[in-house]
Amino acid sequence: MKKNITVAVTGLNAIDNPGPGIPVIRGLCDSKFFKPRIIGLAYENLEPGIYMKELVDKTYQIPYPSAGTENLMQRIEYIHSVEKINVLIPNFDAELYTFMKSEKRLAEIGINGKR
Amino acid sequence: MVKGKFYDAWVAYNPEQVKMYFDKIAAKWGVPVVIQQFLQGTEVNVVALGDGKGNTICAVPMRKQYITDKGKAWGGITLDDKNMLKLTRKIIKATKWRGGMELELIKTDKDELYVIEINPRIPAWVYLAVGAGQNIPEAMVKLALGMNVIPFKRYEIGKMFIRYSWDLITNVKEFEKISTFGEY
Repeated sequence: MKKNITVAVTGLNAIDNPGPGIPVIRGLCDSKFFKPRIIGLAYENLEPGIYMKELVDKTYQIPYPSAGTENLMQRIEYIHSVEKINVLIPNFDAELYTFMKSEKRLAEIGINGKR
Repeated sequence: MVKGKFYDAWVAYNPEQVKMYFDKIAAKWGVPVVIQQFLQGTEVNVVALGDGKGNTICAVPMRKQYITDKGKAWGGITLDDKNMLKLTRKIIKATKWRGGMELELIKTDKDELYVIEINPRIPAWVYLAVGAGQNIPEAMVKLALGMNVIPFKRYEIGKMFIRYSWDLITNVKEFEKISTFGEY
C-alpha cells in the first residue's frame, strides 16, 4: 500500500522557459511508494500548474522572496496549518536562499522534518 | 562569457563588450556578475541527487538536442558517459551535496569536461531522468523524510524527451479564485 504524503511544490510556471515544478510533480505522481497530495505554491496567478487539476490538488499564492522572509514564512505557516505539509520542494533559484535560511523554522513545524 | 547570478549569459568579444554586458546584467539581476573564459564545445548536463553524506543517489547525463532562443532544452537524450558520472560523484562527494542539482558542462573536442555552472536545484528536464529509470523527486522526498535510499546504479541510455506547449482551457471563475482569494 502506498504511503500518503503531502508535498508542497513551487515552480508551477510550465511556460516556454519552464520552472521545474510540474516535472517534479509528475515524478511524484509516478511514485510506486508514495500517494502524494500536491500543494502548489504560486507567485503569479497565471502559472499554468495552478489550473492542472490532474496534477495539483490545491494551490496557494505566496509572496515573492523579495517581500521578505517573514512574510513568506507566515504564509507557509498558514498553508501548513490547513494542509499539514510533509515536504516542501522549492524549485526557483531566487527563492532557495530564503528557504534554506528557514530550514530550522520549517523543521520545527514538521516540514522536511525527519519522522 | 558574462553571466548573471540567476539568469542571462552573453558572449563578449572585447573588453568594451564585457563592460556593457556587466552593466546590463548588474542592472537587471544585481551583483555578483560571473565572468568566464569562453569554451568551444558541446553543452552537456547532469541531473543528480546527493544525500548530504557524500553519496550520489541519482545521476543521469543528458545532451540537449534542441535549444530555444533562451538557451533552454526543448529536447534532450540520455548519454552513456562514464566521465560525466565520475565528475558528478566527485563533486557530490567533495561538497557533501544535500539535495538536487544540475551540472552544466562543456565537453570539448578532446573530451575534456569543464563545469560552467551548478544549479542547486532540480532542473525542468528532470522528468527525463524519471523516464530513464531514476525517479529523482521520489528519492528526494524519501531523503527529506530521513528514509534510507539505495543509490541508483542504472538508467536507460538513449531515452529522449521532447517538450511541447499546450493550450490549457479554464474558466474565468477559476482565475478569479486564485487572484481574489489567493488559493484555488
